[in-house]
Amino acid sequence: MSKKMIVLKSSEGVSFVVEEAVARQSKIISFLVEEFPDRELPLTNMTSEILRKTIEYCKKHVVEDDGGGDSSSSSSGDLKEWDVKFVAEIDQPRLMDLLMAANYLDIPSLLDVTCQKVADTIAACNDEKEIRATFNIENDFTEEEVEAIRMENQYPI
Amino acid sequence: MDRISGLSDELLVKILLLVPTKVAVSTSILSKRWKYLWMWLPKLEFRNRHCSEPESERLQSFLDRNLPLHRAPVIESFRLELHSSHFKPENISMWVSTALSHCLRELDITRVSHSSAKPIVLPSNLYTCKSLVVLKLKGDILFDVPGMFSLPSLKTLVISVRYLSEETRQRLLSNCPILEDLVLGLRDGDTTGKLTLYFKLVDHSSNDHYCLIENMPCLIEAYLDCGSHDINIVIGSITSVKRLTICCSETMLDEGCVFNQLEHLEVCICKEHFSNQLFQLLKASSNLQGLCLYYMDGHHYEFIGHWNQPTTIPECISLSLQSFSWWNYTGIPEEREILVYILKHARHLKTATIKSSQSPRVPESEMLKELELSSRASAACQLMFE
Repeated sequence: MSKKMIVLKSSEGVSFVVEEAVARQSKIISFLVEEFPDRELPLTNMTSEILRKTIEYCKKHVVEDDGGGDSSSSSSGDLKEWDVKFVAEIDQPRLMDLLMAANYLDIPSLLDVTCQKVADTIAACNDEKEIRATFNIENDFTEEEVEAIRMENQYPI
Repeated sequence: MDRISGLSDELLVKILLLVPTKVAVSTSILSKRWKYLWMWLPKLEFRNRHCSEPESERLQSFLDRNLPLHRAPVIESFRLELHSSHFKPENISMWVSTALSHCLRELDITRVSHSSAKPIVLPSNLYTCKSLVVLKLKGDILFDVPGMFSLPSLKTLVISVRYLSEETRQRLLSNCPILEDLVLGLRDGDTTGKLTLYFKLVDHSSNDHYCLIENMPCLIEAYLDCGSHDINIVIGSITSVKRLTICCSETMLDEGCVFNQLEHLEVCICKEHFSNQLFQLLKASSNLQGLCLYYMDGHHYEFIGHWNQPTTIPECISLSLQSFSWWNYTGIPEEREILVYILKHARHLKTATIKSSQSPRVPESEMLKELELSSRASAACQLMFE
């Protein structure tokens, strides 16, 4: 039995042919596939690189429901490990891209994984200077404002 | 603007929820974009361990100043773990009250202080909070329910506090109608012997699991809905009850299980073998006065299996049973057999109430006729057919 394929097009116009079941993990694509069957779906705000990453994630997480004894479906422990590795290999800017892609395409589990990675990165920083440096956040407070907030909001654990 | 700061408030709050509250608060110093984000957090957790007095005061003034300004419309959980005598009980009570006003779902307070410190007196809005699902109180806290006390959504209650009056303990369960988990930590001097509670167990899980239910020698009332689990895990612990409501599958009661105190028994009739189980329970309950056969909420007719008429009449039927009712009686032979048996042997029966099912299998006139013709051991018995 051949699986139904759909075509996703990145911002650079590159087409990706994906099994429908894989792509349907995105609630948005799931909706679009029903509304516009047999049409190429343009994802104009996603680069090929991020789209490829997103598809890689979805392929790993697709639930085999054809009962065809396909042994590619992984146990949840393996999947968690895979997820950790998956986000660990991505650098900071691309992680933000992927997080936004997960949000835009509405893929809850990918959004959770990427948010967790960002949260872990924040929590691992020693102070606010390190957080700012890691994420390129510009400090738009004056020295006095910083001191005032520090006085008010710092409390011991 | 940088990438992360360009994310929506919703996404940034989602990320901040994944770091400890203290780290989330510390991001307020990053930039103006971040200054108030933490105030949208729906989960707040504050702890101080081994803090000096000035440090505790800083946390206290932080909470005094910021909690009233918290922006999240709903606070899902509010956790305080305070290991210090420096926090003023009145202030803690104010924080709790503020958190409760945000449709709080989970409140967890641990307070450890010198034994001479004043306990926290909880705010009165705690005892009538409609949204609260989980309540955990540990340590130097006074839990004393006022006249108005009702926690309609509470499912989990863990109380191990310094001050819990006997009266409060007695009232805990009757005012928490859907409670599923109860852990009561008792302290030296507490009189466990007087503990009289309502115990409710609903277990429809399909997995096998182990549960440990300690003997509850002063339990008054129990409600058991055990699906297909072995009822004997529980039943030996609750033999002191006066009122018992039960639905369980075919597991047989352990021999030697005796309900000496049981006065009122309600048995759900949805399971195939309820009749055999019913008579086992009747045999074990020599002082039973009231018996009701009915369907528990949400339970439906399955199939009535064959009933083995007991070789000896259960003692309570001939000696103590005074009232008997059957709801949703359909009149099929398997049911009629049981009904006729009870009427025939219950010598002290005062009332028998039969409420016909909405889809009876036998015309009501026929049911009535059969009942009138059947022999009754108690001449004084009033037969009511609804």
